[in-house]
Amino acid sequence: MLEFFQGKFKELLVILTLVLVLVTVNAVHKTEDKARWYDKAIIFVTAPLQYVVNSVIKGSVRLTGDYVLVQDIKEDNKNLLKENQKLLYKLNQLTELGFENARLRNLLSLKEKLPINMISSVVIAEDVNSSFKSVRIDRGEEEGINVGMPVINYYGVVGQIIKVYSKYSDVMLVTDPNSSIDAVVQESRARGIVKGQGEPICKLKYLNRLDDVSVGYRLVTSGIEQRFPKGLAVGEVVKVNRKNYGVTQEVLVRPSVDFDKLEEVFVIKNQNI
Amino acid sequence: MRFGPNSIYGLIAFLGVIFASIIIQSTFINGVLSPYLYPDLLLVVVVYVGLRRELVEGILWTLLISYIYSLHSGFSTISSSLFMLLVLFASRYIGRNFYLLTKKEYFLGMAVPIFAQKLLLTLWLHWYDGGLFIVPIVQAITTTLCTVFVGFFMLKLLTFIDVWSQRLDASSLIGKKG
Repeated sequence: MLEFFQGKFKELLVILTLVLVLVTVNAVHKTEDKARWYDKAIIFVTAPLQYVVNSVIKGSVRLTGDYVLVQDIKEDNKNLLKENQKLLYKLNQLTELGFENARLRNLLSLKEKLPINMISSVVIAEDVNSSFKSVRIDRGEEEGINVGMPVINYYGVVGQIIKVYSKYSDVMLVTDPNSSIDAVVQESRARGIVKGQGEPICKLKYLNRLDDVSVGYRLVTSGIEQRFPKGLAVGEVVKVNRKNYGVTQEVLVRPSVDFDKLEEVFVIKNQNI
Repeated sequence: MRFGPNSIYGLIAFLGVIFASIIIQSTFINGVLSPYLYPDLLLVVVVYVGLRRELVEGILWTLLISYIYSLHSGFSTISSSLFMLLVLFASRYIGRNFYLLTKKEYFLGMAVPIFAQKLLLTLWLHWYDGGLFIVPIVQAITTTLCTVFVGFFMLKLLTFIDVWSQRLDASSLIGKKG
C-alpha cells in the first residue's frame, strides 16, 4: 500500500491540487449565471448548428408523424366538430363569467392586472447530461431576456431562465434537480414546493401531513416567491404517500407540460404578480 | 508525446469530434431517444484521453471538455470538471494497470470509469431522496451500457485520428497496455 502511494506520489499530488483548486474556485464563484465573452464565443459556434440539426430532426419527425396520422384525420375531424360545438357553448358561459368577474373586481376595487409581456421562442437543443433537465431557446439578451425570467407554454410552467447569451438562453426545466417552485393545491389551497427530480415526475415537498391532497388534484403557482405569475398550472398529483408519522407527506406530481414534446415556449418579460 | 506533420490537423479533428459530440448529443440523441438510452459521447472522449494521453495533456483536455460540456448542460463548470476528472483518472489507472486487448476488457475498461462517474453523480443529486432513488440508478446503468456500446465506435474514430495524425504509432497499439 505504501509502495503504491510512493510510486504514485506525483500523480496524487497533481490530483489533490486540482481538486483543491476547483473546490476553492467553486466556493468563491457560486453564481455562474452571467455569460462571459468566451462562453458566448463557444455558444456562437455551437448554437446555430444545434438550431439547424434540431430543425432537421423535428421536421423529419413531424413529417413521419403527419404521414401516419393522415388516415385518422377524417375521424378526428368529425369528433372535433362535435367538440367545437360543446366548447362554443362553454365559451359563451365563460364570457358571461368574465363579465361578472370584472364587475365584482370593480366592486372590490381590486387592482387591474397589467397585460403580461411575453416573447415566444423555439427550443433548439436539450441538456447533454441526462441527469439535468434544461433546454436552449433561440432568444437572448438582444431580445431583453434576463436570468430568472419565467418560461411557460400553453399547458403551464416550463421553467426559468438560468443563463443568457446574445441570441440564446438556457432554461432550467421544472423537472431539473435544481428546480423548485412555490405552488398551491388548487382545490384545498395547501402550499408546498414542487421540486424537480431529474425524472418526468416531480415531488411536492413541505406539504403538511394534515393538508388535504389527493390523486388528481391540480397544482398552480402561488405567486409568493414573485418569480412566476400566480395561478399558472404546474402539474397534477399522481401519488400521495401519507405515513402515520412525520410532519409532512410525500406527494408525487406529474408536470402539466410534456417536456418530451416541448417545441415552443413563452418567456415572461414583465408581469404583475 | 509524439508530434508529426499532421499533428495540427489531428488537433483540429479532435476538437471537431468534441463539438460534433456536443451537437449530436444535445439535438439528435436527446430529441429522439429515451433518457434511459442517452449515450454520453463526451465521456468516451475523456476515457480515450485517459488511456492515450500524458497526465498534464489529459487534464487540460478534460478541463476543456468539461467546460464545453457545462455550457450545454445544467451542470456547473466546476462540478462538471470534478466528475470528468474522476473519469480521466479512473480510465488512466485502468489503462496503466490492466491489459485492454479483447472486446470484453475494453468493455470493462470503459464501463467502470463511466459507471463510477454516473453513480457518484446520481448519489450527489439524489442522496436526499428516498423512493425515487432507484430510478436514477437504473438510468445510470442503462446509459453507461449505451455509452460503452457507442464508445467502441468512437474509440476507433479517435484512434484513427491519432494514427493518421501520427500521434500514435499503429504498430504500437498491438499488445500495448491501454
